[in-house]
Amino acid sequence: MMAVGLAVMVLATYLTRIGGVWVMHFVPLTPAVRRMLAGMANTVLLAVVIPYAWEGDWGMRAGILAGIVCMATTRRTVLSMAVGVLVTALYRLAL
Amino acid sequence: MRKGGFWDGFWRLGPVGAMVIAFGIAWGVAGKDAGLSDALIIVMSGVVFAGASQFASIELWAGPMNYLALFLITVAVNARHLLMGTTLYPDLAHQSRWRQMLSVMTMTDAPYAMAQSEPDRDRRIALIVGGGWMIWLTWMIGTVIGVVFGGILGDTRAYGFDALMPIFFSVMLVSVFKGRSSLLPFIGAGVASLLWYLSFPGNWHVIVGALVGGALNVVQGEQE
Repeated sequence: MMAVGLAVMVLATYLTRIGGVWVMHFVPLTPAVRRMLAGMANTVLLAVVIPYAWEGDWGMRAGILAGIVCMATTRRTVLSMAVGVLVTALYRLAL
Repeated sequence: MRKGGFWDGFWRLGPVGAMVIAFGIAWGVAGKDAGLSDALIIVMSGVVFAGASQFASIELWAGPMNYLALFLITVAVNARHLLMGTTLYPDLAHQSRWRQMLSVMTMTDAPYAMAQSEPDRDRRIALIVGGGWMIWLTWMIGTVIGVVFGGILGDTRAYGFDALMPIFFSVMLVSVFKGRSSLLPFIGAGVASLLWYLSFPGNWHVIVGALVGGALNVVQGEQE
């Protein structure tokens, strides 16, 4: 039973990984399609983040905000992530 | 491929990998708490390699197996991969079918997000593949630690670990934000995905938000 369940999950997950690539084999890459893909590539990250910010506590939100502000000003990825996580941890420690 | 960014991607994801270890620990602990066997928890991390869907599957392993529900929930939670695949197709199109199938095997959010700012197509794919293996390795390390030592770590939330992934995505969003031309797609996608998320179950808000963002990007392009 465990092996069947695992196989089902592996199949489902791999289909999501390869499915998008396969579908595009049959869709011509016109400029409009390219713009569509470029728009999706960026906004998909936003759509993933939103529930975290919505459901999360204020520590989570403060951390996200701190990460965004740090990245916008310094353009340094790792630094911004560290600052964000630190703000979340300190916020939770303090309140 | 290795010359073209594989190891660069691998090491660039190191800091994220450190935090993936924390997520892996959380998964190992959660799986044990729910009564999953050690083997199931560890093997699942290795072969499914999609954390959110692994967490989502936990309740389905108790009681009689419903394979259809397991399949649908796994697809829904991982549906964002479909979008990543479509957007990577222009980069993968000239590669062989086998190469494409291998390249997406470890495709996951963090390397994908990191590679968005890389202009060269081949290098972008190599970064994602290399970064993906760093995430796989650290996910496995974390899972094993969680299963073996989970009890003694305490509450990882206090260290802000759970905020790491959303913060990483937000930071990546800043790096792909291109000023005024990004404004309409970003706002539209944000509003659409939030409204969908609040109204309907099943994780499809990711797809809806991205489709709206993509469509607005097309409309905006045609007006220029």
